[in-house]
Amino acid sequence: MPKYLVPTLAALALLSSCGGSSNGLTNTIGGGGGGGGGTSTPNSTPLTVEIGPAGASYINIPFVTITVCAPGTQNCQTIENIEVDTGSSGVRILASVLNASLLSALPQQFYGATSVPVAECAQFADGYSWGPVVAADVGIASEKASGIAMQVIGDSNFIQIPADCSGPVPNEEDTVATFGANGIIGVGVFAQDCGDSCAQGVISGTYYQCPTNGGGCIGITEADSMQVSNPVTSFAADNNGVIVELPNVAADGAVSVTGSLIFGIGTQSNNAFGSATVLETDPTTGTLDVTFGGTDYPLSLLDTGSNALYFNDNSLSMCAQGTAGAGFYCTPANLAATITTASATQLTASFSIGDASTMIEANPTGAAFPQLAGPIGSATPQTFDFGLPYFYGRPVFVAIEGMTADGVTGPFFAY
Amino acid sequence: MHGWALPHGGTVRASLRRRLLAVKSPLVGTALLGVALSLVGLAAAYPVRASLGAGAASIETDRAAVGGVLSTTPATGFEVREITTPAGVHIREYLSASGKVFALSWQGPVRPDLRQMLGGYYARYAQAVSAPHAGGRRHLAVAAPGLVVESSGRMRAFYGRAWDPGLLPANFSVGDIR
Repeated sequence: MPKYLVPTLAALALLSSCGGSSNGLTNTIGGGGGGGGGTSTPNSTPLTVEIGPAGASYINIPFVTITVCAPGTQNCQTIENIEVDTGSSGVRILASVLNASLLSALPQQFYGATSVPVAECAQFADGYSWGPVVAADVGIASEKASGIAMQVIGDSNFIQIPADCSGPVPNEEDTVATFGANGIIGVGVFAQDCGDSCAQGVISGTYYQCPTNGGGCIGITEADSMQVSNPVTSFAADNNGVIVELPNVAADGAVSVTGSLIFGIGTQSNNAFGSATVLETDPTTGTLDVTFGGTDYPLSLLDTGSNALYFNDNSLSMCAQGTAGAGFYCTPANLAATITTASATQLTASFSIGDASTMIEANPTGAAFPQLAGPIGSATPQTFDFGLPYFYGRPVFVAIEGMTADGVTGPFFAY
Repeated sequence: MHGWALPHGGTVRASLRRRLLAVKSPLVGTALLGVALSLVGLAAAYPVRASLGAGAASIETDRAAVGGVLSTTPATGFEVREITTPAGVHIREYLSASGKVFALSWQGPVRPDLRQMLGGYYARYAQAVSAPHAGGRRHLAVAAPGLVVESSGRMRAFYGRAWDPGLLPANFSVGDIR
């Protein structure tokens, strides 16, 4: 499903052959790796922003390649175009992408001591993804998460979607075309996707047992240890968080750009903490407190799973309907917000936004747009969303709850 | 361990993670008229039945149904009644002086059941939801005749609001739906 209105262009811009090359990585962390990203080390893997399998309407999505195996076996598959999301936890793969022989070999999670399969409704603000919970060995670079709970999306054996999953935001994202990628790897600040609330009570629209007699799925509690989980926490080492490292991108955008997703904080020569500022998040929501334009946004995000900078500013004009940038801002501006952490540290966050129509028309096959910004509704006071554009040229540390990185216990972001 | 189909009889390594629960205080910092009602017991998830466009009685029905706590905040020309569900979702229902729910807002770790909350508005909402939109997975704004719905956030931090532009009280600003 398109992430922005597909425009009717009056004239196609010339394809940009260079697309704005990166100016090299702003590397404030320990050296190592291949310099400038794009190569694998045991604890890092290339992170590429490019047009993925769902086509050109999905922009500013960073992808990695992972390997999925039936637990303890060599029955494996290497899968590219897995979206990296610092705003969620857990691995989810589209069933249509998995080889049939692998899919059938992934052990199904059952409810308690029964033989009733467990399935999950992954909730998004714009829809949902539905499918069974299975066990898998997930490998990235040389890291391996063994026997972790993973969601298979759009499995043909699980077509009865419960009403309290599909009902609230009835936009089904169970195909590559509607999901926007072959799968997603949530490497955010939480260890499980739902957490204690799903373990302590039945939360509508989360985990279910699905009897195979066709009687329909029933909501269940799901212990933390059984929930779809952040694979990083299951690595033998380098398991306290990740670093998202993307190079600078020219203002008008680029066809693609490659950096690195690095595992571990302060565990190897390539992931030293350096002089980054710790931004502790709210321990329940994983969000930050941001002030912008005199207004406070207590549920703010630093999030590779957001494809633009999203915030409200009435002084900025939006691109007109039917134009390339419809839904986004068309006013270039240099702006700044203030991030206030739980320990009252304040950090000024400066950023530049551009004319979305100009940049998209200049790069119609482009994927990386560092100045893409848009509003959130018309006056919503909760969130300032530092999406993927904020990560270009700025390595960001993501520290997992309960894990210690550089002597500080997560959850926190840092840059 | 229980819970896995293991074709080769192997074991699945599970790791327990504990996390301190931090209790969030309600959003609205204004003084509340205490209409604190005791919990009828922690209920399992139960759909909220109050509807946009419905009357005040539907709000009390919701509160009883979810076993939640109701608080009421008066304002000029309207009233805000907030229900907190056992799952920790704060649902605010904006009641006009003429006794109609003209707006809804929510915030919580999961999304509330909008099927019930939107009532008669749900069909037009469902039609509009699949249209192309900016905002990716994190933000959705739906405009249909007589209905605006904004849904934002991610697991652990969802929020949003819905209203009928035709039912807004005089001199009411949409920015007050929080």
